[in-house]
Amino acid sequence: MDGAFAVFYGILKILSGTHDIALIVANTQGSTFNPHQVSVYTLDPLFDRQVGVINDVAAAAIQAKMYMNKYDVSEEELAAVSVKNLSNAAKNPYAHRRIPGITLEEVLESKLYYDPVRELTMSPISDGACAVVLASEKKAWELTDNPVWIEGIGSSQDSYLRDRNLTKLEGLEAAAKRAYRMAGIREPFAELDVAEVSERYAHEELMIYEALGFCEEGRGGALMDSCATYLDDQLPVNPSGGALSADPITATGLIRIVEAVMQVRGEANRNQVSGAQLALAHGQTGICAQSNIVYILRGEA
Amino acid sequence: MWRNVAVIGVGQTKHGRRRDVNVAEMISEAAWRAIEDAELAPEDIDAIAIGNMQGFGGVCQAELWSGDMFGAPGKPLLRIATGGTTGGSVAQCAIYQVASGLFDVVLAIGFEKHSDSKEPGATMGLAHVGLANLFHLLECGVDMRTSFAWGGGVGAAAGVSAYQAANYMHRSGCGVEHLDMVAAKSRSNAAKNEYAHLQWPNCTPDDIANHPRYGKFAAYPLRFGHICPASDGASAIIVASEEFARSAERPAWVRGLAACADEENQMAENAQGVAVVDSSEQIQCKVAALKAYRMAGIKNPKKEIDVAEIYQPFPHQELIYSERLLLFDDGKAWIALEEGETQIDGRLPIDPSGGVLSTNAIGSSAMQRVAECALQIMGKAGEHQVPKDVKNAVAHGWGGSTNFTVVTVLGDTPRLRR
Amino acid sequence: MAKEEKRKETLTVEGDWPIGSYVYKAPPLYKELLACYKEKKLIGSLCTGCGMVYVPLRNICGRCWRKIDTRVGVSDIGTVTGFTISPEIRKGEVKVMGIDPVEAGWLEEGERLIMVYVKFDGANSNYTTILMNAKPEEVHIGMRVRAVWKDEPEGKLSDLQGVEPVKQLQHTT
Repeated sequence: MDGAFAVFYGILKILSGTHDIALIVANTQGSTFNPHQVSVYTLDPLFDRQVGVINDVAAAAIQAKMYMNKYDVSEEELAAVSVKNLSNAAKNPYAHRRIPGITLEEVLESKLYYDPVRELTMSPISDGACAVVLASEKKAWELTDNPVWIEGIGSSQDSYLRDRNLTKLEGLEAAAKRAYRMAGIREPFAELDVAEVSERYAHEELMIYEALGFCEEGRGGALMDSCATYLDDQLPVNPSGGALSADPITATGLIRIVEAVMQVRGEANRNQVSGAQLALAHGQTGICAQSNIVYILRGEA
Repeated sequence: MWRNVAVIGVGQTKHGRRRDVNVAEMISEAAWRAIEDAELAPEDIDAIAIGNMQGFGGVCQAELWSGDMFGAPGKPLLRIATGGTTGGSVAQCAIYQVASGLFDVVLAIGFEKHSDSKEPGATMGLAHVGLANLFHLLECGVDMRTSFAWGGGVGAAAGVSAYQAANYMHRSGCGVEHLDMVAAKSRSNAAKNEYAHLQWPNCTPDDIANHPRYGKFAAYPLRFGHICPASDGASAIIVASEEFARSAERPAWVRGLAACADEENQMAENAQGVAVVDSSEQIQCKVAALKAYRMAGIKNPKKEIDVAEIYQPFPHQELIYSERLLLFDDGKAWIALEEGETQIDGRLPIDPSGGVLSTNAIGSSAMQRVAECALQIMGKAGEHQVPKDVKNAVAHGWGGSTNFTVVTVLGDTPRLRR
Repeated sequence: MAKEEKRKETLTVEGDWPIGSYVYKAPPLYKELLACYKEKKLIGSLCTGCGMVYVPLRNICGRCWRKIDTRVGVSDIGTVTGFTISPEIRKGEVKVMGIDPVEAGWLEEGERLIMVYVKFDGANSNYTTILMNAKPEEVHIGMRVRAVWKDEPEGKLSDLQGVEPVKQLQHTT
């Protein structure tokens, strides 16, 4: 599972009172193997693996087509996600894929894999590692003046490919609702300062906007068009560049948590969202984002 | 802060060579039985914890495509894989989910389907354990040919275990006959457990030692009859908060739990001499036991523990770990065995279910130890229920190349009294 | 913060990971399903609780977690609910249910494969398969398709080779 889920396990142990400090580590060296080939093994061996043509990229491509068809979303709107995230990544020293000055044309002309998924609208295969230290409230104050509190957590697993409503990330919606309720958030788009989400494919980010309640169902493309999720606008999403800029598979979600924490601590360097205090971090696992986890983080300022 | 947690339901499939079910059905069978045992409905489950060895049985993250078969859609699901301790870690994860206050009722499932692999005896996955074992053995000066023979002939974990047995025997003075005794006890106890795999009613040590096939040594001092099978099976437990546990007749309360890994026990980087050379030391088990007992308020485990379920795919491990769980003095477990103390009707029964020696579906095995302890406390162990009042029980698991340990202590009263 | 370090590339050691061969056990429903395939028929499981019809067969409803054993016939005509087009396929690159599509004559060398999710009439699940006898430009969500069965079905999953477009009624104006 994604490293973001490991944080959940650490939290459980600390909240149980049996542990005070937890170290969470996630790493993948994607360059030593082909993760898309391995993802085939997470399919049902009796049917979908027998059919032989589906892998995680093809399945994501089909989901993209279904979503674009239902809500009349264009390829340009998808490409705009890549432009936003990869431009943000150009200023992030940790990012893998940095293309300063990237244009819509460049994205739309990049190599086509499974229609409509292109080289630049899917995440790269990255090497990366990430670690966080969690502590109980008491220990946190002993160790630092600048703790970042986890105010809400929510997680949910969706049905398998065959039986899901693929035009909507229902599992993520349920997970987000749980996290918002725990954190006392009523209007996420208005209240959150910044969000770091795991978008393996450009269309996933649009679907994520809807599932997180940033906009109405089907209006993800419109939200993108309004530029409200750009770095200098209402609710910056993925100021770090997101998964589209670096995807060391199991570390990706954990990196989103770290990036959100850096935003809240004011340490995000050139991509700092000014005055960020309430952040959202999201991790996913499974083909077409089947299992999702959402964290709400708050700073001390 | 800690909230009282209890096991209120247990479900298992028949373990063995199951060519009549597929993975998804097998998991669902155990999950259904646990829910029915707890007298709940699927809607009552708040979250799920599940695990098996990664890649075993040719399936990766089976819970993603088989989730519909055990009520996963719409629920938070955590997957844990920690080698042989997987089942125990999954059980502990479920326990923490309730103890943390975030969830009230959690379903925990451990499973493994070895027989879906064509390799004889073990699955491809064990090859990587074999490699770890190989390195471990190389550090101790065993030549490649012998260790490959051990690995290939009997399944990889036998490699490091044979060495571990020899060390323990040297340290404690016990003989091969004591390994025969443990194996015989395991097989005959398993015969009383309807879910166990290798069942041999009234098996005696001579039955093992003199058997034409089982008596032969696979890798001294382990005979073929001392080796665990590669079973298919799934087991599940339901853990719940005090509010839900009140409705159960006699819940098995979680009193203490701990896990400890001794990474020096595994292959050291380039065998630079920092590795533990005696793999029968298993200090991390003692550390985990001390933590768990302290949490449980148990000061004298020798007297206070009524039954123990120890993860023993090989017989000497029952002896080693019972000492490390502080149930017997160092090097003395084999004497207690000789005197019949650990028999099912003895003073301190060990593995009344037959243990891992007779049933080993890896992902499920460590979970079964917790489940069996719960059954003993709840009085639901059927024919293998120990004939004494069970107030406290300890469940144990080891994994990896003997570097992981999990210890869970269950009792008939909650940890926190009002 | 990370410094912009110039890292020297280290040695590479090549390796192969033979995953191993497997003999997966299928549920008893599978046999039932394949027996229907042999007759060029599709069959689904109906959940009497929520009304979901699952194809392929299932014995537990994922939604209500009820045990289900009611069978209903499912049409072999359906609608495309999702699709994608693969990169160019050459001989020997992919196998669809054990069959090389270029070798079998379904595709020309260098053509692209159309993968579809089909909702057969009467069922709720997305059935994964390929679209045959159609050009990539023609496929669209909502397209009506019909199952393409092997001439001599053998009682295997590959009896259902794929789907092909159903001729729609064309009104003359």
